[in-house]
Amino acid sequence: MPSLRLQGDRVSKGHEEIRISPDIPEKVSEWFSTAATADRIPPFFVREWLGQVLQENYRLFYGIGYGYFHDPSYAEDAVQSAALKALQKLRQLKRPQTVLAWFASITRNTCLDLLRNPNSRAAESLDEVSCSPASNSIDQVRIDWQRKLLVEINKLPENQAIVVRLRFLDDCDLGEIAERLGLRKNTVEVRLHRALEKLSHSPCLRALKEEYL
Amino acid sequence: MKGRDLLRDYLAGHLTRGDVQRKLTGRAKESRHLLPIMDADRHGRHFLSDLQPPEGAAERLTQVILSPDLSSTVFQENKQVGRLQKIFDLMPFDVVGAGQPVSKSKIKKGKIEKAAPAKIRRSNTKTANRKTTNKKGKRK
Repeated sequence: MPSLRLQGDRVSKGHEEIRISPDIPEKVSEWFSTAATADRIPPFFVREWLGQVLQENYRLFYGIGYGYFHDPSYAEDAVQSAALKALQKLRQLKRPQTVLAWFASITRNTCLDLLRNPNSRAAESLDEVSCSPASNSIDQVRIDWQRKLLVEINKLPENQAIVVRLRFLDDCDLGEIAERLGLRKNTVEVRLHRALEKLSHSPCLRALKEEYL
Repeated sequence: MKGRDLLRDYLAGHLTRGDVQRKLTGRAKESRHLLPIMDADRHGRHFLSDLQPPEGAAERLTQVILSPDLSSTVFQENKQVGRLQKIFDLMPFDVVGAGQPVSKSKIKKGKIEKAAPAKIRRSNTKTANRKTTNKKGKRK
């Protein structure tokens, strides 16, 4: 069995070198190492870094919200609420390398909270949106399939769901997913395989296959 | 042809699903369970690749995070105090006998007289509420 050696943010396994963390400015990593004792409000450079990361991966988080609300504006609202929550709890993030997975969990929980709250605007409108008659245009059919697929993905455990989202939404390969989530390639492979296996048994994918094969 | 090669050809679109299933025989038959997984992957990528968020949504999110008045709205102490808690905070602490507890040894030595428990007088409810009239209103 090849030995694992940790060198900074890199792990070398035999001859193969796996990069396990995305680029994080030194200043930001320093802040996270002392975040427990730092100010409650993150400084501007940390917020700037977070904003940049979220902007680059916006489709991923938007996909989570859209899967729950089926409405672009509510999905956007949910992601913004999640970002505010994340800012409040940013000091609790132990490893900034895993910020994507961390924020995806926050977005998911925010969506569930909004849906559970009977007074929220999003919960009220969900029935209207899902019951609205679909037009006969091809785009509408495609949008319906997208919604159904996202709903199925949201039913997966979060660690599998985020891998599938990166694969489907951003068309990432295993190496890229591993790099963006700060995971090892083997872990990603296993999670993706399990998730796809579950998805392949879902009624949505079966219906999709019957329609398009 | 090995199972792996067949699956690769199927992914590339050179073979149909039926062809692959027919050709996967013998040892390679075990690879058949990979076909639905590959289909799920292909369909998912095909349908979700063009999912687009609203225009400028990502920039708006960044603006929210970088806005200078964020501290006043997000980080202000909004600890909610209940109504009962407010009443207790306003009330002065004047509970009778809430001083230092007296030790038993002092009581034994007689330094402090043990206060005798006040007798509770029983009200003679039976006599007070006794009926003096019958149903017809006549005195017994």
